[in-house]
Amino acid sequence: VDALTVTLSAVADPTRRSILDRLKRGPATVGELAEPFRISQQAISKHLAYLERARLIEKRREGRQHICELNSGPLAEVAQWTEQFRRFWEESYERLDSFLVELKAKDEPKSRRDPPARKAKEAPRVRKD
Amino acid sequence: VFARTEFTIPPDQPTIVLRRTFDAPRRLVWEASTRPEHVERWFGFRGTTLSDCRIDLRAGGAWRFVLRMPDGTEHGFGGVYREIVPFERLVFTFVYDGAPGAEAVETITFEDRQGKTLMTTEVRHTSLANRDAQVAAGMEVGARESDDRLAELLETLSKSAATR
Repeated sequence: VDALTVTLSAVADPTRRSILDRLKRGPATVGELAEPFRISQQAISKHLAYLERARLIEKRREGRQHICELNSGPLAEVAQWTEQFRRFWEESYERLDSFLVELKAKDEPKSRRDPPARKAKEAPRVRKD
Repeated sequence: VFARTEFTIPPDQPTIVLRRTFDAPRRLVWEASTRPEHVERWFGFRGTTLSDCRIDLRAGGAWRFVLRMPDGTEHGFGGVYREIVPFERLVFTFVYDGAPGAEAVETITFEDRQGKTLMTTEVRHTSLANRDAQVAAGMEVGARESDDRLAELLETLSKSAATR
């Protein structure tokens, strides 16, 4: 299993995404992270362990407390691809927009004559006027 | 900048979905998407060209595009058409040369929206691992320094989960 799959499956869970969302604002204790959820601290710890294995968070000890911190590296990797993918399609679609303007201009006289225009390669019809 | 195209990348499903409305009737959007001489006018990043663009538009027919980047490197991909419903629906397989083991199935639907056309593209991989393999391969295409898009990414992921 490659790193990307690990990252994506770690963020596949809504609770884990909320935890990451909270950690974007800064480090938090395990207790603080558990607070907004109606699940046991044990369940939260499982999610945190998952995120830790995926290297999305780092845990450190301060006295009796465990402090969690976001490590955005793996997500940045996903974001980089997502960005490429978006850019690819957005730029293609913008080019398609311009091309369609051209295509519409050429098409207008034709579509006024025969609105459905189902087949491009239809044999010319013989008209009986 | 990205407001016009809606992207959905569900973290727990091997799909990617794009939705975009074009200001042209369905028939023209269909033609622009299925005729090679049209496709090569718009497909790809700005500054790229299609050095090969072949479309055999029938069920079982093959298609192949080769995208030439501004630095001269080329990226080929292609597949086979599975289903063609003119002006409505196009189903075909998609394989990127860089990730030959990860074949995806793409479904493009064209819907009338008061003279405009809503085009929905769903890319479906056979597994999350395969989608991510394509993700990894795609990262090599014109890879550049990563922006800090973390917030945006999390929003996309959350939205994907919420819409299901």
